[in-house]
Amino acid sequence: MALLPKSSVKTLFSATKTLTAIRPYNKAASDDPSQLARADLGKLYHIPVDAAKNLNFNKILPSKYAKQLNTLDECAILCRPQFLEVLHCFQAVRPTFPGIRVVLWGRFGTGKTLTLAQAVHYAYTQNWVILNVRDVMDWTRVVKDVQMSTYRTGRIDLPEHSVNFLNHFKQQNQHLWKTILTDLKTTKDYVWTKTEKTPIDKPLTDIVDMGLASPFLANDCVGALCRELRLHASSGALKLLVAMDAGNSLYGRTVIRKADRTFATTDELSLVQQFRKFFRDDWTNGLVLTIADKREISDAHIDPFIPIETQLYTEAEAKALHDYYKDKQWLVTDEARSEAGLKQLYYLAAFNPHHFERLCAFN
Amino acid sequence: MISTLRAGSSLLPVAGLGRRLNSTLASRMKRAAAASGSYESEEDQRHRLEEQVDEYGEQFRELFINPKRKLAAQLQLERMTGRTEREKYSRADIHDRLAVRRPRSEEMPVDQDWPSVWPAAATYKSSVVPLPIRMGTRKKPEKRAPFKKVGNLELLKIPNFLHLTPEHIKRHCEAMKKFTTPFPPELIQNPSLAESEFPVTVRYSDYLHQGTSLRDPRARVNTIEVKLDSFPDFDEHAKDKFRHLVGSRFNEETNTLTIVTDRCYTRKQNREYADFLLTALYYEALKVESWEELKARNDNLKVEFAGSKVEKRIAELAKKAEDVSPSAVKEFAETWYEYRNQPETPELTRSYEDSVRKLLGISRLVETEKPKPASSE
Repeated sequence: MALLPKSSVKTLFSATKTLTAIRPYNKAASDDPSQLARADLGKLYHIPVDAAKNLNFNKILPSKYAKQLNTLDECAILCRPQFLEVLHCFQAVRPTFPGIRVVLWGRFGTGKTLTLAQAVHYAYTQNWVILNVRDVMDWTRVVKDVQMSTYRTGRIDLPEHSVNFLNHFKQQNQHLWKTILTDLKTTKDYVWTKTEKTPIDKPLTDIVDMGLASPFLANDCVGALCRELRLHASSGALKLLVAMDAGNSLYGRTVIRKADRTFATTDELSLVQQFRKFFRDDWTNGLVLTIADKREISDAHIDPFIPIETQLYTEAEAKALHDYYKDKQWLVTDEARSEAGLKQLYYLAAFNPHHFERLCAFN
Repeated sequence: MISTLRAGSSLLPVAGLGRRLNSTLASRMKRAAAASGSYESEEDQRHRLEEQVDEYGEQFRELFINPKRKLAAQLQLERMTGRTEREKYSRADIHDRLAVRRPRSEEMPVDQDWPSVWPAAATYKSSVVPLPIRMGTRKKPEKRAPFKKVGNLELLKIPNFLHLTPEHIKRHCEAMKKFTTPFPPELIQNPSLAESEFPVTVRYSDYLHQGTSLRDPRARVNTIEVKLDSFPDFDEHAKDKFRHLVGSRFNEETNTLTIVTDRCYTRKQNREYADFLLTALYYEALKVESWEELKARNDNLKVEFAGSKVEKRIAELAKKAEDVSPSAVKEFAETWYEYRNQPETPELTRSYEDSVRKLLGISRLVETEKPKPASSE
């Protein structure tokens, strides 16, 4: 893309502005998510690829979209009502108000995970601290190594998942690593074992590094990190976004077996308990964004929360994406590129965003 | 053969049996036997027998080459093509057959009084029932119809309801009418009186069978339905206790208790058991036991807002944030109660969202149109 020098690119663009250029697809007014407004509904905005890399989008986004990101080498997302609602909730966060709980719900393929990723990017641009759990169902259903907790008897630690989470946290908050997270200090002594401890007034990054260095301490470090972030958010030193995909799995079932071969409940997992604390009212200045995943049947009592619905495409939204795919040569056949083809795609996909994208990928 | 040639010989059929009766020889003999004066004079006869001789002294004998009858093959052809009439012969057992009467059903007029013919339950009699019934299996019913009713044992084995035709029923009802009283006109005018005067509805079913047995085990099932409101002296405690005792047999929407009993052998026993259950439930619900004071929040049938964690949270929220109005809290409480106590539906979730937004002061940015009514996933 960087073949022409920047100056000539500018003149090129100004030249096209004077002509009534027909845009290949509907672009939003700006790529900065904080500038998005109602006028930008149904339009695509771009997330810079390096931001996508930093935020580990490959792991968070739905696999099909991640592949598209890699193929097209750009991340263009449609601005839809649910994202604007989430942005509005972001703006309502303040130090005097307890953590706002937002739950994204909706049918399969309507954009819950994608909206979560957009929210994570917005928090990144606004220098919020991001605590992003890729999939809570991983913790409850994918059994890696299991350890009994030394902090609380009866609790189960998940060292490998904790290490993965800490790595993910470190990756996503690299832009704040040297600034906020180093400036903010621990509020108490943390005695991990007889030999290891993190004393008071040490940067928060020490907790993360301790967890990464010794996996058997990782789960306790996660808990300490969560506690510290809550305290500092309440004091106004940082704004916290807790984004959990499949957050309702915190109240669901697990496949982890205990020593007596019965299944553990989610109450017995320390990771789950640590993240459930974010649903309490004892901290402020943060937003907890979760997704109610239909894969899990659960009875989560996290009232009062704001349920935001993700819906199927409108004709305008589907058309905007269709134009984008046309422009990117993603659509292969002539029939798919035609108006009649678009109408067929509407109904074949039943206006479902996931199926629409899949159909466009194969036609 | 000569003995048959008597006074009635002219009435006898000519063909078949009498083929040789018309032969030339036979006619000659008839003429000879007629004895009404010979057709030939004595002189002629003497001449024929004595004088008409050949050189050997033999009499002249007439030669009959063509018999004076049609050959069997020709006759058959004529019969087959219909050029001659077929003779009609009566059967050998004609007298025995005439001695037996036709079945009664053939003489029945169409507008007869059936209840008089079949007044009570009886086995099927094919000669009495004038219906053209067939019954029986065939390998290929389209080629050969099922067996006819005469001598059909299957028709006898099955139960028939010829004693219960509409006309029968009408007459039974007419006969019973003098023992009945008129239907209360108040119940017709005011249908809701039926609920207040007769609160208990009993249901049971009878089953008909096409088979050798009329029994069905399902006939013993007894269902009783009562509305909770029909218990006049039930207070809140009694209603709650009643619902706890009864469990899933209570329908919240219609406020009805349904008890299905089938553990006893007879319907009467099941009915009495259901009556016993109803009585026991009534008295137990009115009682207040000492252990009932141990009832906790967990034992409530519905999750109440008052005393819940949410209420505490909102109270603290109201303390922290100033812009939480009591009306918003009240509306939230009502919506939360609905959302929490009913199965979760999209509509309930949306109304919950509205009340939370009002409570927290975060309004909706975009008014989205109603979602498309597509099939559920």
